[in-house]
Amino acid sequence: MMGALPYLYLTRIKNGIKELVKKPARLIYVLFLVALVIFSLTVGDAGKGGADFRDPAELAAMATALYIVMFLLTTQNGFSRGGSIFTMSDVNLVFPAPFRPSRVLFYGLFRQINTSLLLGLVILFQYGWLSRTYGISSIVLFSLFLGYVATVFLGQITAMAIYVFTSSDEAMRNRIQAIFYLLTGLLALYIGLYVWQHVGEGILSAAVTAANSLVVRCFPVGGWLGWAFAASISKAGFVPGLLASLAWLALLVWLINSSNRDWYEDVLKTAELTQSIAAAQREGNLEVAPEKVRVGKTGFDKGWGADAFYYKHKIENRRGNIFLLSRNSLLYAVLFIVVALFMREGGILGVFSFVTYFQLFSTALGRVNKELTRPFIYLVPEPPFAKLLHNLREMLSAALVEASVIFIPIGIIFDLNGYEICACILARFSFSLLFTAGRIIVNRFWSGASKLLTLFLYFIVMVVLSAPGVTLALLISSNLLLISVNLTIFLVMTIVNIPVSLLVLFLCRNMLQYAELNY
Amino acid sequence: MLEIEHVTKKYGRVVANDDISFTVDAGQIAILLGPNGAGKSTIIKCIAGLLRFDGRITIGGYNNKTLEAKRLLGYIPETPAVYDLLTVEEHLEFVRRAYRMPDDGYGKQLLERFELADKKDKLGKELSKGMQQKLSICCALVHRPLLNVFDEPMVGLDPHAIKELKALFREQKKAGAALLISTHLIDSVEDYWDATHIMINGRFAATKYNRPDDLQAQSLEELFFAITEGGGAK
Repeated sequence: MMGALPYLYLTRIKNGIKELVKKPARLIYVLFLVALVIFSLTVGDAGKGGADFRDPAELAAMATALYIVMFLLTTQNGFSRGGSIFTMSDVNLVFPAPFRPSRVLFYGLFRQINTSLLLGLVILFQYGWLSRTYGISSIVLFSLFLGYVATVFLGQITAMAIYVFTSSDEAMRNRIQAIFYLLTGLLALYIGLYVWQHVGEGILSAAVTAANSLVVRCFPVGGWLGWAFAASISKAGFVPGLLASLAWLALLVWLINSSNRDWYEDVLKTAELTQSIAAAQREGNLEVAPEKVRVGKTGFDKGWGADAFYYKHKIENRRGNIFLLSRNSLLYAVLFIVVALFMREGGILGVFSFVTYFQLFSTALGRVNKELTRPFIYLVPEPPFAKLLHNLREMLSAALVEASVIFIPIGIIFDLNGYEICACILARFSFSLLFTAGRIIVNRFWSGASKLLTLFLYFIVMVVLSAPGVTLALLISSNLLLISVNLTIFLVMTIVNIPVSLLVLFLCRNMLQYAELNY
Repeated sequence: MLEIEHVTKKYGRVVANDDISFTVDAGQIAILLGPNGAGKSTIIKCIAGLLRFDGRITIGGYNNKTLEAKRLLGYIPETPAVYDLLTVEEHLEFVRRAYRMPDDGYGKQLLERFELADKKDKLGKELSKGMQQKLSICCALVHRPLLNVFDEPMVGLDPHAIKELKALFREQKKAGAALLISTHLIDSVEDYWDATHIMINGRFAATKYNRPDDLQAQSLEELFFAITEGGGAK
């Protein structure tokens, strides 16, 4: 007879698959994702033929940097709330049951592999540009994916181990935290010094050499897995990185398991927090507020009727944002600038497409959409269109600042002139407006749909709304070369996107009267 | 004050509310009583204008989606809806400003009554679930609505807040406001109600009035269990 834990593990997977059959919307979404992965792989392969590829050492350096950053970000949770490999249902049903803690730990580890695999899916969508730029095969992409999954997985276990050993011992936590920051600081110092000394070879080239050096590859987990990935490109010598990672996993499992500490209690707090965050997100709280907030001045200076929403947003932004931008927006901006450094030869349009793809997600997390998931905007006795416009006002300034923060540095990296940079900023701004309008369409017509179906519909609507601007931009730029191609494309997209967005907003002006709020 | 006429709400093929009609007059307290999943929250969300439905709902004679109706309504959701980054006091200021109500000190009174005055500078995200629920109640009442719709208001409240809320129900009734309260806890209803509608599977299985001629029959509890455990409706 199958043991209870394997039964639980397998039944959860089985029921997850059954749900797909019961809920066609979810099935369509999964099939869509699978189709997207296949499409990325196929298109990536098709675009490869005969091109000159960039040095794969750059890709190895990027992967190592990504793995190290992911590992550090995940592990850092260990100092505050630990890893979240168990859910509240595990805590309530599995922990009190008569299982040895080691078996429960392994059950948690197996479950965590599933989560890490899901988180790594985004890597598979990158095949198109990676293949065109570096000429990699699908096997190398799969190694990159596995490396990412392993990084997230080991990061979670490390966070859990840190939490278990330091949660009740502040001195120990401070010591381990000091080592953690010291190692991170030394790594940053090494890379910085190396780049500074070899700046004559070019910043990018020096950074790539530093990231592929033995020192960086010896950095725990991220460096080791980066080493293993680099070896998968060169088809040799992946054993040291892989062995070190496996040894790390074995060490952590042994430490947690052999310690006399009652780690159930430590995990409970993390599970409760994870549950409350998930519940908050189900209730429409899309972005979790930062842990530490400086309240500053309290009270409203202005705001009467519908524009009270705008002034409320201003207060929330002052407390939750850094220079008008959310922490997520700033992180995205840094990521885009780093990616732009590596994509210089692909042209500004490639980077713009990449940035716009991510904009789909960041727009969905914005304050405008957050407001639509709470009852106040529906209840306040003001005309629906006025409430909608005042809800959008905050987005306009934030979108313009965000576009400038992203595209001024990227424009400099790509040697664009002032007009082209301005056109980039305006085009990005127009997409912010367009994607927000798209979200409003989804809320207006399908607000009762499930979260998954809503996401799927959101993507479809975005593709449809973007189509006129993109198509016209490509047509005009290939036929009318009065100004530079880049400038034409960005300006045409802006000129088309803005009226399309305004038309959508006008047509959905009574959305707040007809939408459904299911929370 | 509140008139519901033949309201039906469907989620796909699932009928959450099936041809529901009832009224709540000014100075009356009506209770929606029913087990989990009976459709109480759905009809309340329909009244609040948060869901689309078939049928007709009027508040003070106005269609519930009109601005006039919204001005008369106070809605306390089942899940407290507070903003993470606004302080307790700012929540009330925001609602007051959005409803174009001058500051008459009522917000402050509500905060004191629900023991939130000392937490006026705390952010929404720093409040416990119970405190968020209290704040949600204060937000709904600060603009002095004439119809108050409460969805499971007692859940998560401490004994003092429950006592205050019950006292507030009676005061509101005395002041001429109409109240609709949904609950699945029979004990919480006590004797301050005027009409109780027992809901099962999206429909009214029975309606009981708090008047001598109706009270001589089964008690509310007896009637509820007679219906939910297989007995007939009245």
